[in-house]
Amino acid sequence: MANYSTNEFKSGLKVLLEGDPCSIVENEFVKPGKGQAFNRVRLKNLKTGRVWERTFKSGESLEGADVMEYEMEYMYSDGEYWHFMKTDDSYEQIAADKEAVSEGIQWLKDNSRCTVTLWNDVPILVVAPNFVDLDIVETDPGLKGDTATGGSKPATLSTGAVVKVPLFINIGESIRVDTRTGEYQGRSKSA
Amino acid sequence: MPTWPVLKARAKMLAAIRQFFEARSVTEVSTPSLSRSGTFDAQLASFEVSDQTDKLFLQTSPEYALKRALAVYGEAIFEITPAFRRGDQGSQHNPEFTMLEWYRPSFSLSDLMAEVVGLLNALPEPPDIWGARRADVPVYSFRAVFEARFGANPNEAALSSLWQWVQETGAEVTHLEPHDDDQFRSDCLDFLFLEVIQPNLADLFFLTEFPRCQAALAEIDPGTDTAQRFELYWQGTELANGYLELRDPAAILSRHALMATARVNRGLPSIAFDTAFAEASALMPACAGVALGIDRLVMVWCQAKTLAEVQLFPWPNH
Repeated sequence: MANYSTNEFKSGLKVLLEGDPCSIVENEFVKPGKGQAFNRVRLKNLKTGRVWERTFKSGESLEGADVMEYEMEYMYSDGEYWHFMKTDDSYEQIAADKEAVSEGIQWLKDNSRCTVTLWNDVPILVVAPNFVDLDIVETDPGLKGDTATGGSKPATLSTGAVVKVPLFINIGESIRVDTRTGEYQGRSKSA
Repeated sequence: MPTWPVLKARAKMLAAIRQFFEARSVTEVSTPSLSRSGTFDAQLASFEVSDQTDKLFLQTSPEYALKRALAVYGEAIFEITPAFRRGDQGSQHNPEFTMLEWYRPSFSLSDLMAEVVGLLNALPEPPDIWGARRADVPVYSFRAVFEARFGANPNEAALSSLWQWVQETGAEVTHLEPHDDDQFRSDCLDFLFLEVIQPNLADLFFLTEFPRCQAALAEIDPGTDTAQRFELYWQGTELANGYLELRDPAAILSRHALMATARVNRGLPSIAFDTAFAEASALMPACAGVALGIDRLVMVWCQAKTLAEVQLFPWPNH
């Protein structure tokens, strides 16, 4: 892969830092009055999802990372690997390990779409859509008519994820969840 | 690319600046952009130009040439000129930019700060933030704000303490390496000021009483042991940088020696001492001088966020 100098760092560029693939989030050239110039860079580690801030000498360069993102469909898990299929009519399948599916998998039911990040053709991250609709399989019985008190209770979804829902929600209902925060958004519109 | 109204605003501002100086008998001059000597400042990189027999430098500011003119004529002068700094590229930097620089014989530093405010007041169509603050731009002492935050004098704090504070700011700092020299002290102080102190200051202010290691070509005030220098900051960007000008050639030679050490420590090319400039400095009248970035001024005046919104054909896509 090519090398990229700090003045080529722009949002979305994929680079290798300390052996890990990272995506540049933000890059700012800073030069105090008569001081040493530097670049203040925010990077996202694509394996851990962690965003951190680091300064670089201006003109320093990093190796590019072969990172691709694909829209894929989640198919099934065999217990050790989770299997996904590309949605570009190639029917190409890949298997992701536990580390790659980490947080994202708790929002995915069979046949749902997601974004899979490949580094050197190996999946490293699975991200669910921002909003998913899932059925509730377990929660305390609903309190009829209690739509105003604002209390909440835990509910287990069909994928195994647990979210907090309002007291009036019942088993069997489908709800919409924001996967970035894990927060209940409302009853599913299609339900 | 700038919009047409931005270009019109810039033209009106330049006309107002010339009118302002005309009324105060400050005379416009033009100095060469190409010079035989480059800046010795360790943190500025000159573009080098070859004319087959000689190596020439594009000026990083008109400072040396204007001081030579001051030595000859002794009169108040100003220049609006392109300046060039290799590697300075970002939303607030372009390797080529327009600089306004002026010198005022017999002015004190505070006289010159007042004149900077006067100049901004003379510009057409001020943004709201200037309208609200123009009579009262806060002045902070670098020494005082640093002592208030870190409990140490910036001239005297141990380099190891400064380096530790830099590493406690939250960002992972990899652009600095410890060196036992004034430049390292200055770089740590800069970083701490930018990261820790500046966010808590007003969005428009003067900074004065710089530490000795940031004196550049400013006189040292023996009373406070600080450099007689000011900077004007606006929305996080440095807009102007002024000095009570250093005239003692021996002091200039020793500042050059400090920068030469910093250059060696960082593997930067050495820059020959410009004897003509040092000799001219001794012949200058006592004066204060300031440089102001025109493109940045237009940017904040037009409430733009980046230089690319106010400069025609900015790098790297020119």
